[in-house]
Amino acid sequence: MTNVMVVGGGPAGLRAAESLARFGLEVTLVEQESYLGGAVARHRYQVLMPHFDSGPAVLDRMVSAVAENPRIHIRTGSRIGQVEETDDGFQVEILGRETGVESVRAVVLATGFTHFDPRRDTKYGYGLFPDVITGAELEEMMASGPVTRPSTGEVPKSVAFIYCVGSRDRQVGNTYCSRVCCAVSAKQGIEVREQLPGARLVMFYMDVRTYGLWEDELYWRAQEDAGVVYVKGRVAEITQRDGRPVLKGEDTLVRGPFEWEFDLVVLAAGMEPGEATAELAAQFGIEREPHGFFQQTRPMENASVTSHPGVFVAGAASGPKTIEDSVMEGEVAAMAVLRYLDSKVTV
Amino acid sequence: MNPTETHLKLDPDEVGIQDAESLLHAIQSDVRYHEAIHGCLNCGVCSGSCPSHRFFDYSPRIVVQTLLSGDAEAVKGMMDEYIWACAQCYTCAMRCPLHNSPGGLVMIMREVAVWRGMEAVHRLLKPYGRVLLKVLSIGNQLTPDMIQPDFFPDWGPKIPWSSTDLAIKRQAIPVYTLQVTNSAWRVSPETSYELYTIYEETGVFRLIEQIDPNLYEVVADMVEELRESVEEARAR
Repeated sequence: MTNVMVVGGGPAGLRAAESLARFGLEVTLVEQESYLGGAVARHRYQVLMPHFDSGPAVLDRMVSAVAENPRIHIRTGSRIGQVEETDDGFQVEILGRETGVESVRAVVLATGFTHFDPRRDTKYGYGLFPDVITGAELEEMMASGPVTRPSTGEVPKSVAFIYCVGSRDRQVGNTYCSRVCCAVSAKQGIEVREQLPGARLVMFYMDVRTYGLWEDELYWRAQEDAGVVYVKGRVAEITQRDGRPVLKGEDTLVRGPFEWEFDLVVLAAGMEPGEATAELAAQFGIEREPHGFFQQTRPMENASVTSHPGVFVAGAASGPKTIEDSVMEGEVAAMAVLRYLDSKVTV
Repeated sequence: MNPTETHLKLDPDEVGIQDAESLLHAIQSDVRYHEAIHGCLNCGVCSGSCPSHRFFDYSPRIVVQTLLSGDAEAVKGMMDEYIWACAQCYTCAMRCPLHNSPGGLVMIMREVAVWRGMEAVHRLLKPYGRVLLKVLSIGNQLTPDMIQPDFFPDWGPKIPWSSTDLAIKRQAIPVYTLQVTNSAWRVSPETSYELYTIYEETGVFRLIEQIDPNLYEVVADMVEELRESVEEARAR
């Protein structure tokens, strides 16, 4: 029986594992956390961008498809140890509750991303001011109850969203766009409006990148239906006055310098390569692209092809990506594995 | 790069040349220029950070945008008054997502403005006559005897104490060269002599003559006197 390993149990990895198993392969799914679902599960996303799907419903569908498939062997709480290349694949050591070595013909790396930690960009006062939170923390807040100010538990009368935190910024070493945060913030603005009909909601942006069909569905809708105000200007610094965050910056298009107080500030923290990316690249002998993600070597042909035969990539491990694109790449990687194994048999 | 090339192309023959295109060329050919400007997303984090932007008609973003536009007349117009509102704190450079240094660009523009003897420089540097004289005579900028409450009306209540009994307080500093009050540290006549040679060779004296003839007269007397005494000492 042909065995394939999928590393990472987020949307991309779950989809890759599900499809490979449906095509009849034995799949070992390795996940470092104790649960499946990746960032969707970690931050308990309730409403998913862009179509406002139910996060728990999507997660349940993805996870149960994997959990109920007898060909998929789930190894949560596990990491990759030594990797040795053999004539027909890899000997991969799995470190975890059940440590052991697996023989696999191909590997799909779907290790995802980590959120940028805004403590690294001190101008936002994240970690210092309790009412400055990240977008992921807002998701967690909305999953467990109403939106409140962490400092007092009060309902906020004003909420600011700051774009491009940890993205598009040489100062923090990330010169790329994280791609989804503009649209996720618009989605969050629309959701927050439902809870806070009278609140002042403001987005501070450099550019608004709500690609393609998201333009009217998210960006215009945030303004037209949810009354969200967009201000072009990267916030220069956050201080605190009388227990409230104060945002200082320049409204570059209209009002010039500003110093505005908000009850709650949400930082749209971008995506960075997952912590294990460099190590896994070395273990499996694949290249990383200049920003540190796994390199897609032939993206015009197949999104999952890496610099090493038999090693494939899917999802945000190769760059910032939406959930739906990650799912799609999981499928793409499964197809690529099949083609690869087929060519190895027939050639 | 030619190792003998200075960081700023200060050609003594260019003192006084003020046509807009040549000013822009001087700014853009400075070796620091391309380190200080990369692109600009108009995000406004520089001006949002800028202490002067809050209170003056000054924006580091507009400095960057104007230079990128290549509009020489607009750049020249900025050199008259606009860029002199910059406090040179470089917070803009610390925050710019593209690693631009608007403060660094302002520094280059100011150096060119001074070098070319622009009218604004006469006006704006007037309050710095005392500092200029110190720099020219001994290479120091501020000296203890210049730090007097009259010149710093915004001092708090404590600091004026430090301007009293200067001689005694300076003697308490254990570093030998610092036990003076009319210079920041003891400067030998030989040092000033060399300094004057550098000023002369690099055209600084010609520049001073152009932008402040009165100051130049004082400086010329000072230089002549020191040179005579140093040369006499050498001869002995």
